[in-house]
Amino acid sequence: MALRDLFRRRRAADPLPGGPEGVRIRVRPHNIPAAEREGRVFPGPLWWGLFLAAGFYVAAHLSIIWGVWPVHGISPGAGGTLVRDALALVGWLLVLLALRRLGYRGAWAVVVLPVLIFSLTRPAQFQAFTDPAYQATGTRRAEANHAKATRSRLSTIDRAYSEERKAAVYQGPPPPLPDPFARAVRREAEARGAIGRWLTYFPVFIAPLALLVGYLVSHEPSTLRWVRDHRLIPFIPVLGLFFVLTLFFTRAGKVGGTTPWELFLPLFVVTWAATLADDAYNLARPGEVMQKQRLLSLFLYGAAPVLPFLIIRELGLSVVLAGSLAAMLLVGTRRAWWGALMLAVWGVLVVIAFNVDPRSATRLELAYDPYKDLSTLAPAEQEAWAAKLHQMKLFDANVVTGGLLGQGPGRGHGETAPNAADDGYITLIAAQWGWVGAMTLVLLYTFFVVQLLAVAVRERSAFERTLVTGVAMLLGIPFWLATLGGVRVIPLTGVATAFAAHGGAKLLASAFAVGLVAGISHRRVEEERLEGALAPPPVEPENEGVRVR
Amino acid sequence: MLDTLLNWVLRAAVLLFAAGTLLALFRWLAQAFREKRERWPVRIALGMLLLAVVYGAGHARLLMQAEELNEGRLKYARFGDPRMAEINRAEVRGWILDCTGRDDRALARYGVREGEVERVYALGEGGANLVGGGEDAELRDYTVERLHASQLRRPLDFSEAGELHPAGTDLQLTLCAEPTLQAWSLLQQSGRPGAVVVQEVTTGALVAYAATGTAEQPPLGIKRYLIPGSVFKLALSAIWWENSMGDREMPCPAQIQVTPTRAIRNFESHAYPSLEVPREMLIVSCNTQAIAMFFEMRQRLGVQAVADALRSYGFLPYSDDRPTEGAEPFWNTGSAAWERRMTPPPNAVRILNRFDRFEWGQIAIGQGPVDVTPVGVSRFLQAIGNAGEMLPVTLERERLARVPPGRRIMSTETTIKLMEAMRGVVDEGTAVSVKPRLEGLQWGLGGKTGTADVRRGQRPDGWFAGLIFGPDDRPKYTVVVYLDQAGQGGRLPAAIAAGMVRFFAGWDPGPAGAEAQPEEAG
Repeated sequence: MALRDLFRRRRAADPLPGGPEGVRIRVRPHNIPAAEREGRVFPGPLWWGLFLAAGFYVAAHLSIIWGVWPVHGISPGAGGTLVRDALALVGWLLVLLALRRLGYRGAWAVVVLPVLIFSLTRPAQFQAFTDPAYQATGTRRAEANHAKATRSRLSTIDRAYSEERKAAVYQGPPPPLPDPFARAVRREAEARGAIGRWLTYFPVFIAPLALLVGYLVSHEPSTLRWVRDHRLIPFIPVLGLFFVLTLFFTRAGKVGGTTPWELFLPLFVVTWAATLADDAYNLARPGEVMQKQRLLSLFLYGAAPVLPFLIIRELGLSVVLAGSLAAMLLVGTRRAWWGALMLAVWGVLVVIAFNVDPRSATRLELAYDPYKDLSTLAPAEQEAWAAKLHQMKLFDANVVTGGLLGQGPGRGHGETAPNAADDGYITLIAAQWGWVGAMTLVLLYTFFVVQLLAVAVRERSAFERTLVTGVAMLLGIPFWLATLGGVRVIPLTGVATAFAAHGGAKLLASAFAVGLVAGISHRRVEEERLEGALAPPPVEPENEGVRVR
Repeated sequence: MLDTLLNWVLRAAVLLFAAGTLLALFRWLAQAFREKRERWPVRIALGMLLLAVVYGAGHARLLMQAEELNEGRLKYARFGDPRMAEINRAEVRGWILDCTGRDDRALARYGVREGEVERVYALGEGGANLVGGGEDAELRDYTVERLHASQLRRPLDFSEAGELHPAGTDLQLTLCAEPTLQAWSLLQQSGRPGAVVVQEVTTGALVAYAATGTAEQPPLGIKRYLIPGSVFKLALSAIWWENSMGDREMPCPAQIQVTPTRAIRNFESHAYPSLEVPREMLIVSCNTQAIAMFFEMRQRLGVQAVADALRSYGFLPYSDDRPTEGAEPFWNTGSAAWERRMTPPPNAVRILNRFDRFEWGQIAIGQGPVDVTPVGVSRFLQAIGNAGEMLPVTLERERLARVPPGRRIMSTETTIKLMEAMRGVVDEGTAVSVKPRLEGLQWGLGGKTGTADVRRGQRPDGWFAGLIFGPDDRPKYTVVVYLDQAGQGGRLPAAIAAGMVRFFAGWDPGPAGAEAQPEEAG
């Protein structure tokens, strides 16, 4: 039996019901009616893509274990990271199998493409998180880097030099390979505590389950219908919790090193979709928008969720949520003037942000004028600017090192840049896979978002259409912010990219949201099948004229 | 090997992904335009595709600005650059081997120091300004280590190409460790800043180079303009002989009145009733004779012929702006970075459109509007020692197999006359003080001294520009010594040149070093 057959709902050998009693019959696949087959068969190109991605994932991990670990050494817990990644791949494949078993007929691309993106990018993350120095900070990082470099040089000489040359270098017994990483980094790991470590590991292999849960929630209309009808019930407590977290428990934009509000975003999108669907007709008419009740509703569901981000000065995530809600408004009302109005408001807000908020102004300068002439700065200013530039100059170095085809899996020293696995994930990819690899990821992600939007295009119900658009934007906007920010086309915002970059809560929320879209897509196909079955048979056009033999 | 192959297979997989995704996107686009469905999501999707194009262009822009970005990073390196620090500490570059190719004489190699493997530079401060290393090594950018970095970092072989820190490829130079150390030692003993350049005459290979200077200063012997003094008389004599102006007796008065108000004197106002020019003019370095000869050349040959001859010898004439580059490549090198960074400014002579007698007289004695570099002077001497054929200077040993055909700048007869006069300088002329140092050696020395008055009230700069003759009495190496404010060229500079002769007379480069010598290189 071919491995691919695991993904077929019914194998060719399975007998089909029907036919005379007592006689087992088989229907050859090409004889199954098209309506029956539609959506059930895993599309060929996606199958090959998945096969290639899984192979790539395994081979790239192996290459890092063979080629990088012995040279740089590893951080404590590297073995656990490897097991986690292995479980994650198995988890994603099992979810696809489960969907097949559950009779999924929706757009397969929507659920397969995140797996492809995950498979292409995870090895780079794996290398960063198993690097002995990446997770260390301050003097410990310098200490670990030094030892890593010494180890690298010794292991290279040991591998590449002839015995004569080794003798010329060592002039005696070779120095021992240093392995102080455990000491340098373990203290760091201990400082983060068990919960912190658990929160890093858990989402990666639980994410496939979140997708499945999302699918189960939305593949029947009842749950979403309930949320739509009683949206205040989940919305108000979550919004309240959001405000409490941001007002009282946030430090440097995080709660205990995590961003739990990422988990709230799908709910905000669902409630906004419900609001738009219920009132789309009036929202499309400028005169009706100005009614007090409607304005209150727009503020509560459309603006209030953005406010906490502004309180904690998380400009990136506020852009993500506001942009998603705005795109939903555009699609829900089909009115271009909404788009123009939102663009104008957005432009004003950006100008204000870059003029009022010094952090944003700095990010703008880092994007477009990073390497200031030092002679124009006072010594204190030089120090201050160098500290701000530190991350960006290393991101630039990653991109330049990668060149066209990159340095290979785990190669290229991308991990030397702080936050290379999240803020600078695209530069980490660029260092390892070059322009071609980064472009491949960008195209793949674009295709993924486009496929989500294609589900929205197909959807007839306003609620589902705007909801799917919102999810597409919730995934697409951070991707573009992080990706374009990494190569300094726009200022860096610090938002995480789902499936491609590090970020536990983001991964969980995104997987769940994709599950929602998969369920909606499945429902649409089922309904279309039903309509097709109930439709009267097509009438054969009558022949006209006289046939002359 | 397996790892490298695997890496390329993975890159191919990435390419396959890119191709597949592009195809799928095009198919989706075509379908979206065919179908009449909801338009806004399609428009947003098209916006996403546009962003993908913007990303591609933005990423490509950074790649195209790679050099600028690296320079920017270098500016900020002193504030901490973990990537640079890690790579510098971890990488295993190729070794820089000297002319012998022996590991134990490598100019830059790895060695254990205080329990850590470090890059070790055999020449120490002596090679810091050309090879690398020394104090403030990180700040030096006119070095083989930096300018040949791409070769030194190039993976040793295919199997190394896929490694995280590939072992780099060695680079063998024509520079020999022992002569360079000897030159550095003599330079140090002199107590004066300066430079010593030794070149092989038949190949143009740079055999020894030592120069003083800090990390911020470009290499003195290659990049700094200096006034040659009487060394320039060699060029003047070559023009004389090349144009068959004859060997004849001329007086050598103590001074010559070049204008009604200005006169030029001989060094210490020496005077001779009659000397044979140009040979004896060179031997005693008679300024007044040189000036008289130069005036006569102007009259008989014309300014253009003199300027053309000087250009041919590598002394570019100019009237307004000093030329910044020569007409032909100075180095025989495979490195564009080396050529761009290390090509010396061309030797230059200002010849004004309006005739100025005093300036013309100054040119004759290598003062005033004559600017040279020690390595530029060495290249001129190489042509004299190589029967009139001038070659580009070679530093990379592998380039010796590809020395381009030389350019004939003077006849063999002229070079013979010049060499005879140069040997006379040491035997009985201005450098006779070093003659005792050469006694008993089968090797010989010839040359021209130079004493350049650069700053009023200070000691002049001293030069010795010569040829070292092997036991077969053939010229083997050039030797150019420049010492800042060292006084007469016939003293300390000539003594350093003699020291180099003594060294070469006793030097055994070993079998590999002997291979690098002219027979193979020709």
